[in-house]
Amino acid sequence: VKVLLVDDSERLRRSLSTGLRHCGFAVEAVGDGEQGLASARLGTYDVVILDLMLPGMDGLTVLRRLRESGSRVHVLVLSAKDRVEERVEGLQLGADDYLTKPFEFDELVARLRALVRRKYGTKSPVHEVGPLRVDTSRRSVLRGEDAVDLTPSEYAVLDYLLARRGSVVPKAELLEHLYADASQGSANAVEVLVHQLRRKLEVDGTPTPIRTRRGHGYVID
Amino acid sequence: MPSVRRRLTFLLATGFVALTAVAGLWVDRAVAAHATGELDAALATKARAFAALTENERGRIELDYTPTTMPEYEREDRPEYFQFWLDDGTVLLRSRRLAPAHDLPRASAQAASPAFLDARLPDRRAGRVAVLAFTPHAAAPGEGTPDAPDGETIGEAPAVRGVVVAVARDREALDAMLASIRTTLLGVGIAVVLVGVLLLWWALAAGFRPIDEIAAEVGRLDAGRPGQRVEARGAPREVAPVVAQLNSLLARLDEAMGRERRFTGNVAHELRTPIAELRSIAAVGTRWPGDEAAVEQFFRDVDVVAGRMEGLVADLLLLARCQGGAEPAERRPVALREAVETAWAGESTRAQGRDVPFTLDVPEGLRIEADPGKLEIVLRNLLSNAAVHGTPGSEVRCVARRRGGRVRLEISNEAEPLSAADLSRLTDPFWRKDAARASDAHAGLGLAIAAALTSLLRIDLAFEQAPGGTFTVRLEGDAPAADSAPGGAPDPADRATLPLSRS
Repeated sequence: VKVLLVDDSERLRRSLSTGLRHCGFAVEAVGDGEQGLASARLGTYDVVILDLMLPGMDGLTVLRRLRESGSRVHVLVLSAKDRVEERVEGLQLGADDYLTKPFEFDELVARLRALVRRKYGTKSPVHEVGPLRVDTSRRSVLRGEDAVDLTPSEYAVLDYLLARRGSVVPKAELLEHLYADASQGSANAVEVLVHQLRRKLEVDGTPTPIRTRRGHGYVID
Repeated sequence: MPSVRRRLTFLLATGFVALTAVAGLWVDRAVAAHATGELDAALATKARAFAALTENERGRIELDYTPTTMPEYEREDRPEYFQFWLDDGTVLLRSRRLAPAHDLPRASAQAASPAFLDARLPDRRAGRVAVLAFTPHAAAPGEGTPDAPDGETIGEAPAVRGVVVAVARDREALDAMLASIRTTLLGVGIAVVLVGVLLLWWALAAGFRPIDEIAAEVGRLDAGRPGQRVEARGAPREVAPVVAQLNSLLARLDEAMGRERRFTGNVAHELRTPIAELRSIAAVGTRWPGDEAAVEQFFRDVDVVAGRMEGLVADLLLLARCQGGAEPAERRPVALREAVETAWAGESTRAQGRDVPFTLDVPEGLRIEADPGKLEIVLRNLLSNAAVHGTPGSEVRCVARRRGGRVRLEISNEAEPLSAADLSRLTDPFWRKDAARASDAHAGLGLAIAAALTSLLRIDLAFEQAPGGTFTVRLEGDAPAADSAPGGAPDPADRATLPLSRS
């Protein structure tokens, strides 16, 4: 799941990026409004975390311009502005969620995941795939009673395929959502990750839940 | 607490009572004088009648008196009295009811002008006496003879002598009438006073009702809701200035509370960002302590955040102390050029990276009355403002001159255009042209502190922007009294250009 973080505080960008990456998000962080608007328009982000008081262009203008350009990306406003009218204005301008600073890191992550679920039309954080039970809120994968140990990247692949469950996800799309910068990865790397994931998820005899559509991509039914 | 209504009622009621009493007394006196005058006139008529009836018949004094024509002197019940004397005091005659033991008072009376006096009558009644001195007229020829006199011979007068007659009657009827009038006057007076005081109380209550209504309206104002005003519909003209002043006070309070709210909100807002940073750092660092490179960086970040918060708190405390008058400040001559150089040395590193040359045009030896430490803070904040917010590449000019007993210092730089509203808000705490926290180093308190400190140091601070964009801060303070020489044109050697950026 790919997240764009737009905040003028370098220290907040640094700690949040680190934490969100550990939570399996691909994070790109920028420090001013104009750059944030450009990235949000061009990139394929699942969620944009947007501060309001930004140098260059304030967050509300970024949000308005983003919506005017037709972008449907989910935006979570993260701001020190906490008055009701400020929150209402943010939501009315097209924000999908509003969180005031200071905030709980876990709450931010939970809200980001809720936005991702909303984006892909799923309500429950728990996915049942054959004998597998994936809880995206706990980032846990269980096969029966046994936990399946996945690396963050492997989990990110599974998470995204589950979010897009029933749809064929091309390798390029998977690549975009796995890495903040798509140039960091490659189609081969995606194949390797999917291969490792399948190996860990396979149970004796049962078919892998991740199926390949040759020339199209991967899908979990 | 003194009550205007009570005091007015007391004063007006006292005045009213006094006036009523004076009027009552006057009426009483007038009526008494008039009634007594009537009685006296009747007595005088009777005295003159006696005088007319008295004749001197060749040494014999005769009174042509017929008891039937004057029955009032004869009756037993409540009789009137008269008495005649010769001018030497010899009693000539007394009315039948006047016992010899009881003389009427014999006051000295002028001829033809009776004297009147109050006296106790022989039967103990209060009475009024008219005393008339007269000379009996001689009997006309042919009128009676000594042998057959016309009237009663009341005495012998060897020569023509003066006679005194006193006529007395009771004045009880008069006194009773006067007492009745007095009682009526008193009753009417008390009633008038009571009604008057009640009317006064009511009128004052009606007059003060608008004030009560305003008080009730003020009492209904919600202290937490700004923008409220006292309407005082129907308030009289006399109260209008009070309402206007009250509303003006409310407007000023609104403004002060708004400023206070903005200030508190800004402080909270300024603290939210560093707290959010610290919480995020703490949450991520605690959750993934194994990420050593990140954790090490987090500690450095915490240090930076703490430093920023410390700076904010120090600035807020300084501002609060200055505004509260708790910050001590001395005033002594301070060398301006050295002060500017020291302040700039502190700020130049912060502004590095922006290509801003600095021109210093302050004559050597020019001094200003100030507190050296505080003046340095002021100059540092102003120079920092110029360096950070000036257009990159444009110079910061610092020029000072002495004008009479004053020293003026101007710091100019090219800057983004500011509106008149921007200029008026420059010294508001936390105000920034760009609302974003573009720079960690500036919370927007520098100019507020400069304004508070200059006010403390009795130095004038003003801002202006020329149409071309040149922004100028002007400081003007007292020159030390000892520095008599005017500033004059600076020596060229005084001009120094210090490159701000190493690039």
